[in-house]
Amino acid sequence: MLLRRPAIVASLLTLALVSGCTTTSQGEPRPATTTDTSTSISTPDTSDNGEELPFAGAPKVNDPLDTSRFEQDPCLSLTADQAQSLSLPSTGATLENVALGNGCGWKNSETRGYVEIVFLVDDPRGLSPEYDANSRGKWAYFDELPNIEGYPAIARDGTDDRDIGHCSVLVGVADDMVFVSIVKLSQANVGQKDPCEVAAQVAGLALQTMKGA
Amino acid sequence: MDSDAHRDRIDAQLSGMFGNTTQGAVTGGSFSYTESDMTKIRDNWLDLADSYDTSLRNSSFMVRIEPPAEDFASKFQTNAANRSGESYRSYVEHNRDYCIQQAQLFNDALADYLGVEHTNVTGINKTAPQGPQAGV
Repeated sequence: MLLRRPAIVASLLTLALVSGCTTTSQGEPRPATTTDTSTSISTPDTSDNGEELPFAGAPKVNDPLDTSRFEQDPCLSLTADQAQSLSLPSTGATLENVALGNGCGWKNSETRGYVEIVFLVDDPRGLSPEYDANSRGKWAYFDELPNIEGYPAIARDGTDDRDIGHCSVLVGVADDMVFVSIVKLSQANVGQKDPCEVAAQVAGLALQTMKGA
Repeated sequence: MDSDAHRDRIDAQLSGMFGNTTQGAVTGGSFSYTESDMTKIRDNWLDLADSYDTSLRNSSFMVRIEPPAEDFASKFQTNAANRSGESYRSYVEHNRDYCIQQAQLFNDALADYLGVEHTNVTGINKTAPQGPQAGV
């Protein structure tokens, strides 16, 4: 019992000190300061592993586009009218198991013309890794294209099948987001049209849809 | 030429192809193809080629894969994965080309039976009297 006395005294002293320090005062409630983020898109300057974006010589995207809705459902990227203007079915089919992304494909079974749009959602580094791969000699062809609807674009692939009407065009819609327009020309148009020009045209239509959303 | 006549010609050609042994003895058995069968088989090969081609395009994204860290094990693992990716890419490309070749064989056979000029199933080297078509 004697051993507990110092502890009790210390507790009482602490309580007295705390009570003495606790005072109340009148104040005026104020609203918390808020920032309206509804119209702006935050684009990280670095990737998940800390790399500065962009890198490897990739162009910076000055006006990033919010494509989140289309990333989740790439089939929304082309409207029915746009698809029909390309001689494709009005609705696309969601693709399963696309590496690093979500994709949608439109195929005309009669002409064998085909378009695919893929968002690389699982690698949020935009165009930078494409430029990096180019510096490592990974592409059979790599061409910087004029901006499409104001966004930087490239044409590239690991296999050069442009002579049989195939081309892949990638558009950087943000420093950390890219989508791919893959085109296989119809048999009638192989040798008649430049597949990369058509892929860029498809990307332009998709961007118009995304901007209007 | 009507469809029956085409069928007879196809039967004659293909039974000769598959019905003889190297000894010259007829072992029996033959395949019957109509014109529409040949077209269907050619298109099936092309569909298969398209499927491989889609895999080929999508495999290009694998070059973006980087090691999760700078340590030796991470880099080694990524290098191994990338080599595996290159092998996969070669395999898919080979199979795509094989399917196109098979489609071409059926297309050529069909053209022979019909007595028309050979055309390329991939669309190259073709005559294009109408020029570029609308759309893709």
